[in-house]
Amino acid sequence: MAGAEHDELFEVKNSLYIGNYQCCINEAQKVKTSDDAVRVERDVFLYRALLGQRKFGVVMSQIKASAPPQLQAIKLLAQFLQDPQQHTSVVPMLESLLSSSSLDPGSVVIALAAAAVYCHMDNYEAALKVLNQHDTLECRAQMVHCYLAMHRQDSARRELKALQEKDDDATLTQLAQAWIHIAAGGEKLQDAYYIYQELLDKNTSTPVLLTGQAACFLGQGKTEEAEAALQEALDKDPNCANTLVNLMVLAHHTAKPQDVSGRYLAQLRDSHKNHEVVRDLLAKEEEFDRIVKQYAPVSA
Amino acid sequence: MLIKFETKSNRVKGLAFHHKRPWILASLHNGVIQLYDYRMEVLVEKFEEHDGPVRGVDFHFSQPLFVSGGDDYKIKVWNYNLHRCLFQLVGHTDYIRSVKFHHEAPWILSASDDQTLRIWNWQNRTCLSVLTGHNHYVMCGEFHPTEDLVLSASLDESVRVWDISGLRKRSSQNLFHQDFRPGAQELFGGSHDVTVKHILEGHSRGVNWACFHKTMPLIVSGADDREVKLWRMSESKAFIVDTMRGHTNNVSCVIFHPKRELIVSNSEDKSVRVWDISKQNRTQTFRRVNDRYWILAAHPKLNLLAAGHDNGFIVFKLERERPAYDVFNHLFYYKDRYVRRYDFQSGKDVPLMTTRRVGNFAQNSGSNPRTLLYNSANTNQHNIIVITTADQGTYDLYVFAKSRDRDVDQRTTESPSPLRGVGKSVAFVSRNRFAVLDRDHLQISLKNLSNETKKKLRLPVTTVNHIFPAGMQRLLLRCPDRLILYDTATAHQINELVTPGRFPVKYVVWSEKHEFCAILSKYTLFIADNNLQQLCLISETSRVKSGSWDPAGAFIYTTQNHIKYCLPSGESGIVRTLNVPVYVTMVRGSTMYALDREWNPVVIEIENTEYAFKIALGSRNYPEVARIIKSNKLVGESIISYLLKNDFAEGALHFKQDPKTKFSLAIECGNIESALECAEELNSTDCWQKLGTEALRQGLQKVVENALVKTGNLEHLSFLYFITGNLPNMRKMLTISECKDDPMSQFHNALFLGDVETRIKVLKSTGYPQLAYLTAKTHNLVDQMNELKQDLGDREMQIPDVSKATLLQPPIPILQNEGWPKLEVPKGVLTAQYFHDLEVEQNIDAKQQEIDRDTLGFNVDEPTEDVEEDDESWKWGDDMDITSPKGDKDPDEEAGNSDIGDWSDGGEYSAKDSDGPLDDFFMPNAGPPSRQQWMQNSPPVADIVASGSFDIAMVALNRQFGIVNFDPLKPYFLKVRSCAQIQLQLLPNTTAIESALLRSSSPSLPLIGFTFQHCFEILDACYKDVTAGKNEKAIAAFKDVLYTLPLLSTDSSEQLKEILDMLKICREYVTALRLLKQRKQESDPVKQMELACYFTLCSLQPIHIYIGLLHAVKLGRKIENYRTTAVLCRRLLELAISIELPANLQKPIRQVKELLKVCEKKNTDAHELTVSLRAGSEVLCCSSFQSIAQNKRISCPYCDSNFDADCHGRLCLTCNLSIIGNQAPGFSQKAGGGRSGGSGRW
Repeated sequence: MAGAEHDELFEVKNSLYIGNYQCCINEAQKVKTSDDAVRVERDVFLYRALLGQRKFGVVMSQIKASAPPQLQAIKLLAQFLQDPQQHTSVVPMLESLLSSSSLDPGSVVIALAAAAVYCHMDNYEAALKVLNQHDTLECRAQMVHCYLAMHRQDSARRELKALQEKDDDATLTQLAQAWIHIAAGGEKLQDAYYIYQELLDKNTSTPVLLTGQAACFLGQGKTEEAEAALQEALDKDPNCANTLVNLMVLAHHTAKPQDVSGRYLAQLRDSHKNHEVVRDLLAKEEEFDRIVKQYAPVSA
Repeated sequence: MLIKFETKSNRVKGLAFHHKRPWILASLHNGVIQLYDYRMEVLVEKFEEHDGPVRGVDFHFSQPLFVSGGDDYKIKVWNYNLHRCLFQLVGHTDYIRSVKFHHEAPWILSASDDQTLRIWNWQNRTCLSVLTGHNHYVMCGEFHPTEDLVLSASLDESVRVWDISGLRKRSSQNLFHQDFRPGAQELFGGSHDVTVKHILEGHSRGVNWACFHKTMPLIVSGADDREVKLWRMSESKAFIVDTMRGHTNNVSCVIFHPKRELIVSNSEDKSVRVWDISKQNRTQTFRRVNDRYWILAAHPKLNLLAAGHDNGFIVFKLERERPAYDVFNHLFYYKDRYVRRYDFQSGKDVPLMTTRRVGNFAQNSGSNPRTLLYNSANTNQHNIIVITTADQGTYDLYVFAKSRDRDVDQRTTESPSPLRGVGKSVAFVSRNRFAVLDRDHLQISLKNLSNETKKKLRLPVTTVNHIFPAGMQRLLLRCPDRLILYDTATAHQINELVTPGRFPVKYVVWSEKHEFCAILSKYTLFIADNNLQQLCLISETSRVKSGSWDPAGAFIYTTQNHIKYCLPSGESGIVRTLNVPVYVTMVRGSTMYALDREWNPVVIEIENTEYAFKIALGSRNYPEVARIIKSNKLVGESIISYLLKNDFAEGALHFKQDPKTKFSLAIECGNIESALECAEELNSTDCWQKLGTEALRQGLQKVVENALVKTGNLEHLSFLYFITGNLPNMRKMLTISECKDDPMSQFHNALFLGDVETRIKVLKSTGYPQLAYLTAKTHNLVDQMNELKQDLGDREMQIPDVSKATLLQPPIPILQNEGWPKLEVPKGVLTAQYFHDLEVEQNIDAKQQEIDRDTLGFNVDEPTEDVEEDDESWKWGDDMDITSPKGDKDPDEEAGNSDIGDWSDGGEYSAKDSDGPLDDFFMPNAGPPSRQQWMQNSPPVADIVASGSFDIAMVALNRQFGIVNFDPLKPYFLKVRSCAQIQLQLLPNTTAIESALLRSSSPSLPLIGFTFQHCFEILDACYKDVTAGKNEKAIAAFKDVLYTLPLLSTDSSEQLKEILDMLKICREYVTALRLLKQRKQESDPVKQMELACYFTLCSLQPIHIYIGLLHAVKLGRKIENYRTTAVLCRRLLELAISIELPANLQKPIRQVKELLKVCEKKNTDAHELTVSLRAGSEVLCCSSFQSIAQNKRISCPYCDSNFDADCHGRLCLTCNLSIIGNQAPGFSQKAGGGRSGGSGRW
């Protein structure tokens, strides 16, 4: 990035990465450009921000069939996010998009979309394979994400090094560094906290950053601070699944009455049926009920 | 050369600095003497008495005097306080070239064109001596600053040193002689008093000026031969050391620099030149275009010089005196080629590193670093940038590790070598980046700590001439007319601030939390927020020097002569005055740290109360306001008017001493206490009335009473007594009214009191016998009735008809003197704080300490987790002995492995890792989730649950506690499961990842959502519920604990013991509460009695047993089981002694005592009970609530509740978890001991 000229989309991208979707959308709408490539890129970020706000329908209806392949990929991603059951149709289409535009500059976006879908399906290997084709910051960061999800901190750290060499100051690099710190836990949590604090100081606070910081607090046993951060995150986005999950966990740890955590869970179940935690809990409940039967208690 | 002050006037021929005041005298060619204040830059006064040019002036060092000499041959001595010339000394016969005071003797030395110097005594206004010898105009003369020497320079090409020790001796011996024979000296010639010591010959033209060195035996002279000569003198001779050539015209004046090893000369060639004594070369030249220089003067103490020329004079410094420093936790500053670190707390001042030499004349020529920058964003390293203006500006970047272990002193030898770059405007922007302004290319270079350019940003405006740091990835760009806040990440301009005025912004000081910045230019001070929104603007008349933010939010800054404060709200004021400028580095409370002009750290105590008070008030921090008021440091009307102005009468109340004002303020804010105090002091009816009204409004009857008494308002008072039902006082009022002979009030009082006889008496005495009769009649007072009848008859008045009269009785006060409901007067925040702040403070302190301890403990406990440790975990495949729930996934993963290649060899893997080039990317397979790791080493049940292996957890619970009914545990399992991990959103549009929460005590294990503390709290709440009779709620809560216990992770045997204790408590209470429930459903009183007795045998809190006993006693009496009741009564009474009981439970004790007597008397039992009342001897079946025989007793394997053998195989009724009669080790297994005996026995 040395010597790079001013990136018109910097604010747009940065807002998306830190999860400030509305700001991303606003900024994207402000960008006036004559360059087609930039325009498409801008739209990609715009739609991704809409996805971040879970406005899947908007994205799907806005992207026309004639749109460039990048946007098609985003559309497919939207389709998938709205209904994960559709992966059977979405994945092959994404793959064909990928293979047909393997050398286009826009293929990065397709790769990211595909990787996102793979990640949702827990198929990190496939995600990594796709991502590895591209040497952009976001792909690298996404790879860090995959490695962490695979519990491979060592590989994640290696990827981080690559990120740092590319651009040490970039928001994505900072974030990736923070994730790895959090995954490592212990004393590293404080470093992660600093990173989030720095980002919070620099930008407006977003649920993404706040939950990240709350994770640091929780890991350090600072429940009060964690609660403050999470409450702020909830204020920013009352429907953010991760915030709700973390608030539920926090409620457990702070021995809040059952109904507090129950309320968060109900809220989760209501609006995020497909969230991993919701599914996990449901599965565990079922598992519990199943196993309990084996003990077949004598009725009292 | 830094010009501090400049004047425009006629040619300046003489200059003199005042020793203490910021004054300078300039004598002009046109005969005027001007007195300037160079600090305030104003002309103070003009003295116009000389005729023709005035060439010499001098201040007296202690008296308010100065002397001048001019072309009118006159020496004038002036008193500047009196603004006039005191007298003149006449004797010279030609122009006077210079005049000087002696530093201690009352002497004046004058040099004149009449080829002589004269020494005068200005006290008796005589000439002491005439120094003859020069054979041309004597251009200057001066006393040696310490020795008895005089120096003169003359156009005869020589410089002479005269010895005046004889003069001094004579003057001290013959004081009288002198006084009484003025002018004697002239008669006899003074040559024997003053002798020529040395004649310095070497100049080839007339010498214009010569000067002694203050401490060394050196003389410097300047002459028309355009040379400056340095002479050394010894006792016997004087010789030329050095000749300095360079001036291109007559050298008019030359002096030694008062602080440095420098010579400063000026000349008619329109230049001032600076020469280095030790290196014998010219270091600097400062030229003027049109003006020839004539005179130089040095300030006796400060680092200031003045030079007079054809059109005025200048006051200047050769180099900046401002130290280069930066503050981040510590003070980092430059001194004598070291960067030093000063610890504000300990006052420890250590050299941190040496700096490289800059330029050729490190010591002398103003080549000291101008700026020092410390990177506050880097927590691991010291990053210091030192900027010098030499060579068009260079910066040196020093990067070195913060080593906490080693002592800093040792490191001074191994100083880091700097990375150098060109540029004088540099700022750190992030942990590892700094920005350098490159004006030539109109760009900002972002560099990393290796001084490599990483990024170049085009300047948004071409006029940017300086950059200041502005926090993370931000810069402030200075243009001539504004400041721009600029984001280096986005290359965007965020905001701008217009900075009018002709002086550029010089410094920007950020507050510690980066909320505010103070922008300093020469005479103005802006405060802006972190987005450069201007908050306030302060204009100063003297130069703003430096500033620092007080942590509370005040900006403390220094000007030339003051320490001042400024709040973001715009409030500002003077903290104290300064004699010499200092540079603030840090302010902590009332301590201000600064660097002085010698670059030494100094500590200055300042009075911070005023601004601390304003801040506290502004931020509504009333505890602080109260504290300040209490400490009583603030006095004076100004603060009171400030408070009143800010609508804060309550605050003002605490200052006001004048009782009258205080009283009205107190009434205004409803503070009755203060008002009462003042009223007592003032003791005026008016006050008491006001107070009474206000107190009445608030319902404070005592105060009202007091006020009414003071005002003597008896009517109101008796009415007050009446409505408050204060009968005794009303009776007093009656007496008073009787004494006062006021029948009306007497009647009223009697009426209110129901005192019929008095009423009759009053009525009779006031001439209403009919009414009196009526009264007597209605109250059936026969004697008086008859008497009155008699009386009426006597007076021949009609006896009133009493048939319609009804009895009038005043109501009987039920609540006497219990006061009224009081009006809730919002207690002023301040008043409230006034009394409670101390307590709060202590709490906060304690809390803080606790937090400190916690965090400390946390840090200590937390072992460092290294990369290695992670690698270790890779051996999981071998160690796993518990099948994971996801186990069936493993084969897939193995399959995935095979096409990537076998990399079970960890060493090879990490070797590949370190290179990590993109091309040989290979797919790693997934690592073990942290959940799986929790399953290793046969962990506690909770950890198994957290890992999600419910099946294994249940097996374990079944084995250990015989639990078969897991249903009640379901929420607990799910809670533990969901507790251990949180979700972390990384990138948009993708999944979140899970992040494990780990125990701080053992960082490889998950955090469990249940804690002992939690259980204790539940139990405490339960006890209260039981006491309050909320049994259903309590029973649920006890069960809650009962279900939590298996999932508590125990680290020690103490904790295990606590678990067992809690288990017992829960078991006993659940049983007891079930007994209670049963009893309430039971209709047979005998059965009820039995259940009540059983209740009392559970091990409960004494208070609960007490309540149980009360019930049992009642029931026992009902069924007439006196003997049993007696036993119960005794137990109850014993218990009542040993515990503290709430009032409502103490009442029955007396009845019980009486009952006991009755029972002991009767001592029979009407019914046979199955329960014997000896505690510990009996075992109750928790199912049937009957006693069980010793041999038929079985128990629950989890909670250890006892049951009759008949219940075998049924689910335990206490815990609902396990099968009665099954065998399981229970909790005690882990402790390694047997089950604690006796628990559960009755």
